[in-house]
Amino acid sequence: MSIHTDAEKESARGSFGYSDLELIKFMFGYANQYRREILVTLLYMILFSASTVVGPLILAAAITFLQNNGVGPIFNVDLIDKGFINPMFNFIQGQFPSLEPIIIYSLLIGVLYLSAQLITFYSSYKQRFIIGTVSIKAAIQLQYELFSHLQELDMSYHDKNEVGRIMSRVTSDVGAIRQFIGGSIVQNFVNLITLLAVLVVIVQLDWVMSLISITLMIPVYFLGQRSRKLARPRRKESRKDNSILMATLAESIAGIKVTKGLGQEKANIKSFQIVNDQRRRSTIHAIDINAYFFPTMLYFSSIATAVIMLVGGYRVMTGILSLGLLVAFINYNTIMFRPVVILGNLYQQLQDALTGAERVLALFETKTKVPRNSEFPAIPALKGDVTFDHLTFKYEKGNPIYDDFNLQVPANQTIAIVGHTGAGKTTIINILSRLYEFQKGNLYLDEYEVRDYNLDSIRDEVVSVPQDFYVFSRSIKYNLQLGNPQATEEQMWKVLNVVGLDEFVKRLPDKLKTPLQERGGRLSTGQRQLLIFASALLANPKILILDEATANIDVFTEIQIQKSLEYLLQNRTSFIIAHRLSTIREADRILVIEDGEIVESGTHEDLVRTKGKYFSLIEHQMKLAAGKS
Amino acid sequence: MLNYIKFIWPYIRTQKLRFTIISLSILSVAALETAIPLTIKEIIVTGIPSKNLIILALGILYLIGLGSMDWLVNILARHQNNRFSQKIQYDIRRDIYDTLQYQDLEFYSKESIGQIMARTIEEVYSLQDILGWGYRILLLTISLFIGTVISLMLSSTVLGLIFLLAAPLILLLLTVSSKKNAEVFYTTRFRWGKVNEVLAENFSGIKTVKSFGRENEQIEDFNTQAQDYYDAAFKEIKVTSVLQPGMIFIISNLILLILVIGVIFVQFSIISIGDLVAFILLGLQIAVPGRFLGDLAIQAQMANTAARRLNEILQSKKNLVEDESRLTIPHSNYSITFDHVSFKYPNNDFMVLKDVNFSISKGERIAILGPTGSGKTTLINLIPRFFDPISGDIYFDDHNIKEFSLKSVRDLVTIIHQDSFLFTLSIKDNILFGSREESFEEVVKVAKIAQIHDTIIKLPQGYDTIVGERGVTLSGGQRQRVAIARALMTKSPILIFDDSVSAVDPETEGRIQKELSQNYSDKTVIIISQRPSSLKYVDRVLVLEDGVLTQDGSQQELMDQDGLYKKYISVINNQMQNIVSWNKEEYLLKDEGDRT
Repeated sequence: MSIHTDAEKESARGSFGYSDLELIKFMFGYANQYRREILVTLLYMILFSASTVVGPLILAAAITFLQNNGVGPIFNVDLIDKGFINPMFNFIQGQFPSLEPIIIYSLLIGVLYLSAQLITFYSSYKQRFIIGTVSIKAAIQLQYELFSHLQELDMSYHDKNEVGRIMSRVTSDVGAIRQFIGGSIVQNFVNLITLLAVLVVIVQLDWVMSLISITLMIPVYFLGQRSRKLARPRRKESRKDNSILMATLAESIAGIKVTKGLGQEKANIKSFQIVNDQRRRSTIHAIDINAYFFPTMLYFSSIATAVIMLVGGYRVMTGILSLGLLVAFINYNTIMFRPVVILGNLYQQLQDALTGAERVLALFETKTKVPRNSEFPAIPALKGDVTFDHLTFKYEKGNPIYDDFNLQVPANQTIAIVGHTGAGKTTIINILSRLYEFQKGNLYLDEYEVRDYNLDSIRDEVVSVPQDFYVFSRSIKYNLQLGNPQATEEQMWKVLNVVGLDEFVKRLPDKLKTPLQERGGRLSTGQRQLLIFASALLANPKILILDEATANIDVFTEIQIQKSLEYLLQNRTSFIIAHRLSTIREADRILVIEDGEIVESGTHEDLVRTKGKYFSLIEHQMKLAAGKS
Repeated sequence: MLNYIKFIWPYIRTQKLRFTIISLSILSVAALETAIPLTIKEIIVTGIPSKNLIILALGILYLIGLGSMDWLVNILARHQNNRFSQKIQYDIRRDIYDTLQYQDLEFYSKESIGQIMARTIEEVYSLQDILGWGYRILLLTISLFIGTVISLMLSSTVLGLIFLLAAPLILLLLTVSSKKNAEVFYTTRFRWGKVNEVLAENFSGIKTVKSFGRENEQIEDFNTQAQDYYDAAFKEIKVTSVLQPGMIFIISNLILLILVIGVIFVQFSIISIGDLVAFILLGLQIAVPGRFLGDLAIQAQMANTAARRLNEILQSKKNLVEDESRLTIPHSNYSITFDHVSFKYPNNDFMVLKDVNFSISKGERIAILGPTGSGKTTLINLIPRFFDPISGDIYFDDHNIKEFSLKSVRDLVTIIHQDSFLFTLSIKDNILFGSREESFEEVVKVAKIAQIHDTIIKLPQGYDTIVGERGVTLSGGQRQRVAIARALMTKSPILIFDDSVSAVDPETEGRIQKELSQNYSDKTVIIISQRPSSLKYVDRVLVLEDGVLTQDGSQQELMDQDGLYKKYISVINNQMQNIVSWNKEEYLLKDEGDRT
């Protein structure tokens, strides 16, 4: 059952040792260049809060006007008498003396209310839009830097981390940061400002009345905390069940051929039912928390309204409070309770964002061991000599595979590397192709030490074809362009012809532009190998490294591969981890590797004559072959 | 919306009681929330002017009573709604899964796993919001609206009418805007999917990218996709920023109308000041659920599209589920006859098989040879009716397999595929996958024949080791041998190996073949394989070239003909056993070795 625990391990925060402040700084570093926009947003927030607070006052003024008993002073301004309502009323009546006073008055109230609503709408829209835009821009930047960084990280990083995990860094972690910068923080901030503004106003209006809402908001806040605490483990559980459901679905799609072949549809359906049901139960379990808590929190708001009516009603009776203000208090009560109910979400969102930021930051601080050295000079045109000079190499954890390894290969030779599994054949290739960094010694191409030159320029000269090469789903063309992005279609057809794929490609519906499906699913194993050969031909490197595929390929494609291989090896220095006798025989030199050392070296004839390890291997092979066919 | 309702209605009908409870409790919530402002009005109109504290207190008690009921009914509505919506999702998922299980292979050859996943999972998610809160919000808003109109009408017909007129306007606005907005949302989602595809491919192929030094091109490529996505996201932000503020603004304008006209009406004593207060409070109350109407309209649009697509999948179910009345193929010798069989895939123009004729009798061992793309796999897929020929017929003895139930035909044939797929189950359960009632002894027996028993017992949990995508990784050769064991378990009289030993070394393959011919001499075996070692135990060879059966005979007969077979053998003899096998488990250990 250790299958789903990876994500949980990662969600434990604090394991990277960054302080929250560092992480927040890191996140806002990306929003920093948009300071101006953020400042403007802040202004809109204040505007929004102001207009929200004014709304109920205008309503109060209207009611008060009808009752003629005054709103009373707010911040020492009497809204009706000395404030703006009566002066404006007098001004309009002066201009249009024929209008009924009540018409003027209701229109005046209407215009005021409309203006307040317009400001609320516009500032609310603006602040959301601006900050949303900023968060997208920041996310673009962050995602771009992250992706570039991941491209630069050497294979020792990529070996350790599954695709899914790396992807979630670039997608969900960046997403959490974006959400935080763009949505949550603004929404909560504006709620907070509004809450404060309302508090200030109601205390001014009547501090006794204001105590009612304030007192009842406190338990609501704690109820909110409590519900989130309860919900967290339940949500985790339901997310887990959800991902099990997805995985089950994905697997049964992937294995559909087996299911159909063995007629197991019914059994699959039964086991999916269980997973589906589990997900349903745990989801209900999680969302039920809201079903109980949310109405309860709002219930406090209803109670507050009732108490406001009681105390307020009494104060109206005794003439301390105007009816207009009583209504205003009811309005303010509603305005205040909503944000308090929501406010606590900020904490959860902050946690999500911090977790994301932490992982992203840690990833940025993982440095590549094979830097691109873009500022270094490009390596000059090569003859093709390769020298391993007292080189020591080990993988991250473990003993050195090569210790003080020396090898000199003159230009244009073909070297076959043979040896038992685990002897270190692939490692030589990994070192030479600069997929991993060696620890000691030097690696020279001609007389140039590889670490002194720009990596891109070296990759132009040294190309490797790994055994587990990847065929992209995009198109034939896209895959060929891996070899050379500038290649013309004409060149592409030429290399396809050389490897014998041209007839096949011509038959495809969109020729070069035909998508190849997942992992090159449209091609057979042999065809995939031929396609990658064609890409390598287009790259035309001075030094070629090839890990020959062991997979069984149909005899006729096999012949084609042998032919193409011959062509591919011409005029360049080549290193091949060879599995085919024919390839080995053709090599200029065979290296037999054992435990990180070259134990035999020479041509096929030499080594057969020596009757050493190579010979015994070949002998065994011959016996096998003779026994079978 | 119609698509959606039509789609969802059968699911709702299975929970009529729950649906009724939810609807009734939402209506009660609306009634209670309408009653609260009206009570406040009563307090203002009668309680306060009377200066009687007892009347005031009674009013307040009444308010608290209403609030408490509101609280309880709200909990009930949400509680029921959670169960209701989750049950519907459960049902939809179940139906989709069932349908997917019964889809024919052609469906799967048209789309990638990712696309099918997206279609099934994301479409169900599109329905989720509407089910989760959409219905509740919608019904609540509408009934609050109606409640308000009624309250207005009771005091003043004019105010009521004004409010009523707003409904069609809002509705129109919502439909017009949501259609376009839903498109924006879709584009964003679609492009996000694209970004994910690019990421997944890049990280899976990172070694290849690095080997060719194409990091810069990949960054650029990613950037283009990301930019496309963000372009869409900008549009989406524009829409979402306006949705809630816009709805609130619209509702505020309704309140404004009431306010302006109300002030005048109060002045002329058409309504009381308490009425005005009640109306304003009612209006404010609508804004609480009403602000989500914009989001809801977009969700509805998306759900509509989702429903249409899900329907496409679900509709085809009818054609797929087996007609139970179909006959089980009678017991016979199970000789196989292809009679003028031609085949082409529906999405392609060219014939994959052209007028193929042959017969295989019971217990024969047949190899099918031919270059890549010559139609070998297609041919064997016709035998268990994964596809049906477009012309010609296939017979088991003299029974045309078309006339019998799929299940009964498939029970007779087991194909072992090249990409031997194992489920995330224990090895034992994987082997038992097609024949769950068999005993553990039987599992061990077939594992031994498939030459995998020794490997299994060396694993930490032996036969209970979980394998597959999320379990222990086996090498290609080991997976293929587990798959062979799984196939042997089924007891089908016809076994087909579709290049299914490609990753098993020739020595082990030899042992498997030998055990097979000793233990299962009565089974018909068809082998597609490229390696000469597979031919050793074969009685007869069929040669396919470009969909045409060009040769059919024993190996000796074919050697005497000038044809592909002869050419093939001579190539092999030249190359001898070209692949050097340094180690039996070359495939697996290589990876491990490199990491230690």
